[in-house]
Amino acid sequence: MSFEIKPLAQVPGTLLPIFQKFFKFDSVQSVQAVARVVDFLKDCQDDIYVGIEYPYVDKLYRNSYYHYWSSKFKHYHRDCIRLSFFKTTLTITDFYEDESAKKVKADFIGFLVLRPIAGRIIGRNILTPRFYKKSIDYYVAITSGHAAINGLKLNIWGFPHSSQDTEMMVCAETSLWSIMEYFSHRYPDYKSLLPRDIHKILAANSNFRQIPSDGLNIGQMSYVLKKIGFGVKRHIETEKEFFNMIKMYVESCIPIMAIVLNAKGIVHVMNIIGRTDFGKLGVFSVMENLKSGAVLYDYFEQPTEYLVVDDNLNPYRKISLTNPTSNYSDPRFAGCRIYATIIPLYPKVYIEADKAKTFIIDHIRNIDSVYPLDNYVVRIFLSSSRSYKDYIAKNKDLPPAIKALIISISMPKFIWIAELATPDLIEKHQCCGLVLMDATELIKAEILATLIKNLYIGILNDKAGAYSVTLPPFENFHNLKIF
Amino acid sequence: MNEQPIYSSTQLLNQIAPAQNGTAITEEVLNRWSSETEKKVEQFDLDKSQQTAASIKELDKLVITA
Repeated sequence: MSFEIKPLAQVPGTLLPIFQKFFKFDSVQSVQAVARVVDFLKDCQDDIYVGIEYPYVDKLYRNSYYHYWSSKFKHYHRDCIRLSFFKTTLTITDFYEDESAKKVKADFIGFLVLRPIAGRIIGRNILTPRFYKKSIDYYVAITSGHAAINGLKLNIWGFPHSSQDTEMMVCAETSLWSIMEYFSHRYPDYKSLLPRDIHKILAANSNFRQIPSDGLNIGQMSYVLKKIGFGVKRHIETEKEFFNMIKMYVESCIPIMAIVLNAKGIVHVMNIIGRTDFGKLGVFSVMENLKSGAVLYDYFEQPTEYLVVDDNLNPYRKISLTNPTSNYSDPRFAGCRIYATIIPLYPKVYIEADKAKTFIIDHIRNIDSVYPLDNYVVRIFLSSSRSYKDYIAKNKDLPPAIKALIISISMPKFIWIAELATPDLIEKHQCCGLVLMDATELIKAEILATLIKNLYIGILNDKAGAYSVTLPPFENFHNLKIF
Repeated sequence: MNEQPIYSSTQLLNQIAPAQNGTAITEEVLNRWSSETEKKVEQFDLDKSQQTAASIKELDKLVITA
């Protein structure tokens, strides 16, 4: 195995002869492949150093290779090249010394597999969201990826991405693979999904050949996710809360598959995995006028961009939900809109985002009718009760009695949470009220607890009632990680 | 003065007292609201099915390829 470290500027010149000798690309293919790598690395952080390693056995490519590429008459190489990225300069021997190895681990910012398919060279990669230059904070659903680089086990936090190979994997398969890489690395309940696994799951119900891939329909994609353990839901643009649901699920750290289309016949899928920070806050839009004269504002109506992992583009591209293909230079993608979404939910999340929002707002309206409230910005999202209680336990602003109170509440595995904050607290990433709702109680909305204006409504010592508490403003909860 | 260590969450929970107007709030929020939610859920589900009924059949026909 060959492994060498080069500054970023020398990577194109180093890769060109490797593509020719190792991948057996002709000179035109090699130049095109270098150009594609350069495009992928465009806008990445300055002064990064790149480890170039080959031959590299990539699990994703090998799966496609054995079930498709190797069956062709033309010879396709079965090994890949892997690029690993580091923030600062390093030497080969830095990997071998205890102290310097710690620095190598700290400076590791991701990897990219180059597959030996001319024109479709960008393979599996996990990069930190800080890999590319950016001017605003990102809130991203991330998972841990592992890579043994030059013998050293390294870890990277990011969202798995690959470009499509257009034959074994088009956007539908790539999107499913990416989502499952995320979930399987993050939660032990789920298994990763390779292209052949997708075709195997669908084989029994497929009347036609599966490879070369002609794409999948929404029913097939949902079926694959259902078979591997998700409680899948799909939504369509005609639903009243369509965009708000996307925002609430993304805020809940649930990446969603967005099906985009246009009148030119393009039907594509991309994974929405996070959003940008709001930056300077704009005017909040009114969600509900309360009886007392107070107003509820919608947190999610702040102007922001969403982050996507799209197999036609580099990872972490920003989009507007109303113009999801604005990053495309290909005119065929012009004018696409998000037509539908596939939401991979934990099976026991029975209450969906729009229903949760309706009932939480209704509940707040009822409180206001007997206990006049102030103006609040409302942020509704889903969380596991374990993560939420962990955040409560560690919260630096909440007094111990409030922590004990929330932690003592019996909760299902998943809960819907509404954070209430005055507009000025939003800028400080704080809130001053809470509504917690059971995500499993379908017929009769079940509010587990309400904390608002120094009032707790819920169960205390086995008795339901309203209690006086001291509730200072406190740091809000983020399942998405900030970069 | 040193704070006494607390070994039971009950000690913390016992610091919380009923609210002054707690009875009215409990009646409105925990009892009346709760008893009405079933009807509201039914109405919500009905509205939702009307929003999706026409379009959901078209969804599965779309093949995602781009």
